[in-house]
Amino acid sequence: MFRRVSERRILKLSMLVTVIATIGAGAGIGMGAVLRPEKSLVTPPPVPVNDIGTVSAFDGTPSAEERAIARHAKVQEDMAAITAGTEVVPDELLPGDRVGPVRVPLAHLGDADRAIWMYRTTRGKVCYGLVDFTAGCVQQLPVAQVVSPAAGDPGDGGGTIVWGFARDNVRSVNIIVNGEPQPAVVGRNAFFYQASSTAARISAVVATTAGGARVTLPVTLAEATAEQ
Amino acid sequence: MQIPPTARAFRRRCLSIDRFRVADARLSRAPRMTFILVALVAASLVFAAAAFAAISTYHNGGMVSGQIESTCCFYSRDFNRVYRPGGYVFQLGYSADGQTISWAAPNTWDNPFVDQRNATSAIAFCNNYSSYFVTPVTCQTTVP
Repeated sequence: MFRRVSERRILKLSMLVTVIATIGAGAGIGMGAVLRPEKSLVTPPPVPVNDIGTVSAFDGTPSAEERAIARHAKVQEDMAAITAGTEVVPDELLPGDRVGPVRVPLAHLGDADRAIWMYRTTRGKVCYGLVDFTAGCVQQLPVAQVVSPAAGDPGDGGGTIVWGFARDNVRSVNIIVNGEPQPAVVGRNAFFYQASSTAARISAVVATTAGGARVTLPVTLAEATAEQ
Repeated sequence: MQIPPTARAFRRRCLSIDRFRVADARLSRAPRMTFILVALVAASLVFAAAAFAAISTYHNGGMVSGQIESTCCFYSRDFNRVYRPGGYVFQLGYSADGQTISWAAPNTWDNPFVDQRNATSAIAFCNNYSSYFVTPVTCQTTVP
């Protein structure tokens, strides 16, 4: 008798927990929908742009090494940082959900053995990241621009990193370090360079296309500033 | 072999007791399993809610050229990120002492742009480094 009453209590308790959890989760999702603002005015790009075009990094099927890197906890965390908790972000700024497999155009990079991951989204964007550095999603670039670089101090004692997305027609990338061109590692739609220290003066990225055109892009390095 | 009537009755009683025990065990195992299952579901929902709560939005709206937004307090941060239209230079940074801001690589075309570097105890910053008014802009970081 006692056991039967106890079992009923357990059942009742578990049902109560389920109901509370469901209401809580529903309220959270509902609040997200309420908090998300209506379509807002979006500042258009300041220069003419076009789509990034074909991204051959997604051709073929991922290798076993690519799959292993994509499953790595750090890569999973980095990818989650793109889309987690975006309930208050205006819908027109969201990158969309991942479609297809995660690709790794370059791996075993620099002092910290970093990798570059990349995936497509349902909204036609390409999201990509350099492990433990920066990440983002891109859909358009200025018409004449063939690379989208990011450069800075990795914060782990290693030298300055310059890396980024490269359009399909990019064949080589040089980084201007202390006035001299230094070759970057180039993979499908990505490039990477790490200087020997953070004291290196990095001023530009020079990309050469399949047609032989050279495109120079100045690099702005972030500097520590006093809080205002 | 002939079983005496008393022994047959005893065996029948034992069998029925055994059957009752099996049935009773099944009855008590089922709700326990249900409870464990429900507890697991509830725990995962609570965990998901906690993960959602760990993202803090410290700016949502337009930002004029040179405008810098920041969080109020020193916390450990997993990342710092900005959602804004592409084409405008934005910087993300941390300050561990409240005096100096260590900026990440400036970025123009990525949306969102995420600074994956973490910070142990820092204020997070978001800077419209471009010469334009940009809207909409959402700056977010994580809180413990």
